[in-house]
Amino acid sequence: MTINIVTGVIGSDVHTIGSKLLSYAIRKAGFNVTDIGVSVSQEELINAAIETNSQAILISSLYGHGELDCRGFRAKCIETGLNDIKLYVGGNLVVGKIEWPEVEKKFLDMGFDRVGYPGMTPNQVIEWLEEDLK
Amino acid sequence: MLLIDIGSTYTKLVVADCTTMEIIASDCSPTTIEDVSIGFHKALKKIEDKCVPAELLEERYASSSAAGGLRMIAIGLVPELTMEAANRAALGAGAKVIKTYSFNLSKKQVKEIEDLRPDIILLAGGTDGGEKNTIIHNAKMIVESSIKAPVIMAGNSAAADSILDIFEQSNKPLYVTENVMPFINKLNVDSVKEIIREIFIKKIVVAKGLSKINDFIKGIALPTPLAVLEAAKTMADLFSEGVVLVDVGGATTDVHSITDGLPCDPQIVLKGLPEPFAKRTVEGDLGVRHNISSIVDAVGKERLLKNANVTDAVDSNTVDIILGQWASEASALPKDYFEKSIDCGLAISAVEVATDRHAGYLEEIWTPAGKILVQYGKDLSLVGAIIGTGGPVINSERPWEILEKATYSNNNPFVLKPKKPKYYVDSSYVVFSIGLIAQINPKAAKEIAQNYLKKMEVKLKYA
Repeated sequence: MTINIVTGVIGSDVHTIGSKLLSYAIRKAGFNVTDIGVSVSQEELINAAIETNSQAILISSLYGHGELDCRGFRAKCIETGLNDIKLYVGGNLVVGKIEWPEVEKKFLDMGFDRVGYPGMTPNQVIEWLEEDLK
Repeated sequence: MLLIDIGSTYTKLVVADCTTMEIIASDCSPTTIEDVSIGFHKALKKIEDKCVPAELLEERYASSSAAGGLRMIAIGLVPELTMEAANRAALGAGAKVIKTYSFNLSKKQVKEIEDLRPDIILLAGGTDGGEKNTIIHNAKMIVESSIKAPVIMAGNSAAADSILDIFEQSNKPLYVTENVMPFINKLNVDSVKEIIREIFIKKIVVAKGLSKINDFIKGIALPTPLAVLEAAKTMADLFSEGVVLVDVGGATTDVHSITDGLPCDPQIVLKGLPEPFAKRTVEGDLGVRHNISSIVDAVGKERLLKNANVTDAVDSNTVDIILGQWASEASALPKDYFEKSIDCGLAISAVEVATDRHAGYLEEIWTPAGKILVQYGKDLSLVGAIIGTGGPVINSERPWEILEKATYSNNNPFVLKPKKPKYYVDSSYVVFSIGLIAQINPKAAKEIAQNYLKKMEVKLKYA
């Protein structure tokens, strides 16, 4: 059975390349990807996940406001019935010199299941997906 | 060729010649709901007096919006996605969408649908291979109810088998077709439109008592709003960037735009559900008779008076009294110059608000990388023509002032309305007939439209 996944670039961010590469790679790995593009809201990601019956939402962010844009996302997923959905976030998530473990913890505490560091390859994401969803 | 429209108020007849590519005659008579053939034959008599006996007009086609038009209910999953897609598919097929529903239908909502007695129910939900529990639940709720209307299933294709099973036991009519949203942000309305048309011809026409003139014509071809939309599509071919057609009526104001509406600057980010190339919106709160109070609410009394060109010296109570009379008598026509001004003011206000809602708009967003512009909906700024139809526009002494409100305004620079269109008024009520001819002979329809439009151009007073 195919596994459906939603990808997108959150907030006012319009940096599309990372998310496009990721979508391409995981599609090649056999997942059914719905890429809803750049500058999308939390609600748009959730709506797409509901309609496609997706099992994971993969959020990209490059412009440094990722933390603000992602706040409350897990709560909204639960509220809309997406109780078991996996949430991944990755990219250049914060501004300033903050050590990676601290950034990762911040997003794990916000309810994300996986947090990708800047420059991570799509292969790592595919490994995570296979571990978490298959 | 004889083209007939059994409208909600008037039955209109048009004679067109597909060899000379001209409209030869047109006339109308009030629609007689109890037996539409009475009104039809009255109008036919007028036409026969004007040109030729009806026997010579062998080709006869009709559209109809009598008896409430084609009343539909659209059901989807997420309001912004499949529900909106279903809504747009129904509107694009010429239906009057009386209500939309999302997520799981409740017993109370099913009761509401039973009471609304729609002609057709459009059941969507889930992308192909996506969510299917909701649409299956909703199909069960419909089957278990007393709803008799035909159901068109245009949702997740993976749910089709289950839904066929659910309907098999009942003897309720079900049509399964392509998903209105096969994947996220992809709108697919054509196959739904075809089925709606098929059901309209087979069932609705009979149900609405229109079969009495069926022998005379070659079957009712289209719901009137679809004929108008098809006419707009034909006319759009005559202009490089498409057209906007506004149809002002007593109960609704309809706006049609035929253009891709993509951003004119590649830097602009386009968002939201993609728009149909031929988009129709129906503003049920902007009819110039049935919804006078909501027009006043939408623009404010002051602006209505300004639009009506009514000076301060006039007692505003007088205006209130006239508006009150019209609100209670939908067929009332303006009697004198003053009333005509008010009528024109209502139409101007309705068109202004209806086109504001129909057109796309820009939003400025500040990001760490600077300002970006985001476009929602269709950009109509390059559209070549605005065509006006409907009694209040056609009978107005200042139609250009009404149509001008469908264009771009400096006061509202982010609303993407046409910037330099030409203006045309459908002065002899023939727009629907062009849509009908287009079904049989698209090439002739285009030429007839071209010849007709040449005569119908209106110049701005000060231009």
